[in-house]
Amino acid sequence: MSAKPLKILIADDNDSDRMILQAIVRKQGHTVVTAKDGIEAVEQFKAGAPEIILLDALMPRMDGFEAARIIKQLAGEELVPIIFLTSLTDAESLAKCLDAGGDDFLSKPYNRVILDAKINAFNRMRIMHSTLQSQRDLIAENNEHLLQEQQVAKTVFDNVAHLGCLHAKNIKHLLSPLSVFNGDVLLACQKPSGGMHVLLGDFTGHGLPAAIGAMPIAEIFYGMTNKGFAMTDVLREINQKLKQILPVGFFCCACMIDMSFARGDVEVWIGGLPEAVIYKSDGELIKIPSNHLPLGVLSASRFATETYRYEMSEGDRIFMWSDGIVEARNIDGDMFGEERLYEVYSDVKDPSIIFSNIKQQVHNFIGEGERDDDLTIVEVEMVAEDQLGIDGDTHLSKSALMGPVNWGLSYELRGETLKDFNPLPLLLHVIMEVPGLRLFSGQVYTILAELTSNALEHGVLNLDSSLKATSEGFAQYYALRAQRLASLDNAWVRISIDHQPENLGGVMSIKIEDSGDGFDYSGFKQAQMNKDLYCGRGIPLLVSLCRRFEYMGAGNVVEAEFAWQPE
Amino acid sequence: MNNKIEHLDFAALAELREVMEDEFEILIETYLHDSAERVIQIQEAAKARNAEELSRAAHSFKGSCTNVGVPVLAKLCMEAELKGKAGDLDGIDELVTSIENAFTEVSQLLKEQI
Repeated sequence: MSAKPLKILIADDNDSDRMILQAIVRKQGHTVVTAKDGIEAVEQFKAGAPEIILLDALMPRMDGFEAARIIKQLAGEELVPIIFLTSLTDAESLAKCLDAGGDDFLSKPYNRVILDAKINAFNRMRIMHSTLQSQRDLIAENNEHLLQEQQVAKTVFDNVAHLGCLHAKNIKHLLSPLSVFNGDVLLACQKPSGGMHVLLGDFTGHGLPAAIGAMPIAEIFYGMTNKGFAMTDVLREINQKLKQILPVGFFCCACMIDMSFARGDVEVWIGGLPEAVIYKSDGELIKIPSNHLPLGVLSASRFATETYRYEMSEGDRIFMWSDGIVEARNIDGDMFGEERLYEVYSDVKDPSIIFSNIKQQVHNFIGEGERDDDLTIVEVEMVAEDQLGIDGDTHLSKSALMGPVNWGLSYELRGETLKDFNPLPLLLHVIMEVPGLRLFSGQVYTILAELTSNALEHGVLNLDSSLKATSEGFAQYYALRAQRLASLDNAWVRISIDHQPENLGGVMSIKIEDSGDGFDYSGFKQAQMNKDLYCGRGIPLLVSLCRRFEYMGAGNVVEAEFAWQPE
Repeated sequence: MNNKIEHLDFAALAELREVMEDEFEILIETYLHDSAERVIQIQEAAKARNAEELSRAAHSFKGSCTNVGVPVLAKLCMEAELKGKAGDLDGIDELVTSIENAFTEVSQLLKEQI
C-alpha cells in the first residue's frame, strides 16, 4: 500500500468488473470515483482531478481511447497516469491504447498484487514528474529573477563606472561585453589640475563577481582623481581595496595613465595587462611592458608604484588593451596574437585610423568564431588641453547648484602628521563643495599646493630654495629635506581657509602659518620676479593667480586671496 | 455433477469473496443480471448475422466471465469473439446454444455460492 491514499478514477461499462476493481483498489487504501463510459470519465476527471485513471478501452458513448486523449489534453503538463483495462491482446489494439495517451495495461482477470504494484509504480513516477515540474518552474523563476536583478545592477554599475570623460575628443574606445556585465572596466576622468587619468582594468572572470569588483574601482578612481590625488595614490588605494574585498585568486589586471596636456607627457603604470603602446606621429612605436602584479594581489606594504614616463607631442597616441584582443580566436581556434596586432602599426599613413583598423582586423579575424573574452581597447591622443571637447565638466557641476558658500576652517598639522600626510585631498574635498568652484579646481589646487609646500619646506624645514638652482644643489636640497623631516620636533603648519560669496562667485582667503622662523620678505617683491631661477618658480604664479598675496609677521605667515566668478 | 469443477474456478471465487466481503452477493447478482443481457445481445447479433456486434458482446462477456472465475463460459465467449472478428459465422448458432446452456448451468452453480 502506498504511503498516501490516492484518488483513483475507474471507468468501465461492465458493472461486475467495475465492482471488483473498485473493491480491490479500496482495499489498498485509495479513494475511488467511478464512471460508466468515456463521457462520464472526462466529467469525473474535470470534477475531481483524480491522480491515476483505470480506463476500460471499449465503452459505449465514448470509448477509452477518446477519453484518454481528452484527459491527457486537460491534464496539460501534469502527469496523470492512465492504465487501460483490457482483455484485448493483439498488438495493434495495445498500441492503440498507448497512442491515445495510455501509460500501461491491466488485463482481466484482475490480479491484486500486480494492480497494487502498478499503482505504486505510477504514483512514484507521478511524484517524480511533479517534483521535476516544480523544480523546473523554480529554476525558470529564479533565472528570471536573476536577470531582473542583473538589469538593475547593470544600471547601477553603468551609472557608477561610466561616469567620466570617456567621451572626450582625444579618446577612442571599444568595450564589448561578453555577458550582461563586462569583465573589463574602462574609466577616464579629468584631474583638477588639468590632465587626465585613464584606467583600463580586466578582472579575472566575468559577470557579477567582476562587476562587483569594478564598482569600488570606479568609486575610488573618480573620487580620488576629482579630489586631486596623484595616480600612484589612486592605484595604491584601489589595490588595497581590491586586496581587501576580493577572494583569493581574483584580481584585476590594469593599466593606468596620467596624461598631462600642459607638460606634454604621460605617466604609465601597468600590471598584468598586455604591453601598452605609444605610437608617435613620426612612426616610432614604444612598447610598454607590464612590470607590476595585477591590482588586488599584493598587500599594501608590498605594492609598488614605479611608473614609466614618456614625452608625448600633439598627435602622439597611447594604446591600451585587455588580453581579449590578443587572445581573440577565429573559427579554427587560432588566436589573433600580438604579431597581427602590431602589423596594424606598420606602414601607417594616417594615424587617426589605427584604432578603427585594429577593430576591423580583430573583427575580420574572429569571423564566425566565438568570443571567449571581453574585447576592450582604448586610444588616448595627446592634444592641446582646449581640444578635449569636455564642456564645463558636466558630471562635476551637477551638484553645484546648491552647497556651502560662506564658511571658514582652520586645520593644523603637527609633528608626525606633518612628515608624511598630504592635506590637499582633504582640503580640496571641502573646498570643492562650494557650488561652481570646481571649474577653478586647477587654480585652487595650484595655490594650495604651492603654499603648503612652501610652508613646510621653507618655513618649517628652513630649506633654501636657491639650492635648487643647480643639479647638485637639487639633490642636496632633497637630502636635507629628508634629514630635517626625520628630526622634526614640535613643528606645525596651520592652514586657515575662508570662503565668502561675491556676486555670482566668491572669494577664498587662505592664511598659512608655520612654526618656522620666517624670513625677511622686505625684498620679496623684487626677488619674486626673477623667473630665471628655478627656485622661486612658485611665487610669480601665485601672484598672478591671487587677487592679494602677501607675507606677514616674521615671514612665517602668508595670506592669499583667490577671487572667482563663473563665466 | 462433475461439471461443477469445470464451470467454476473455486480459487478465483474464494479470492473474490475475500476482496468483496459483504458485497460478494451483490457482485454475483450483478454479474448474473449483466450476463443475461449479454447472452441476449449475442443471440440477437448471431440471428442478425452481425459479426462486429457479436464480437463486441462476446468480448465484453468474456472479460467479466474471466474476472468472476467462470472459465468454460469465458472460453466459449472467446470462440464467439474470434469468429465474429474473423467474420466467419459458420456454426455460430451451435456455439450460441452452447453459451446459453453453459450460462444456465453457471447461473445455477453461482446462486448456490451465495
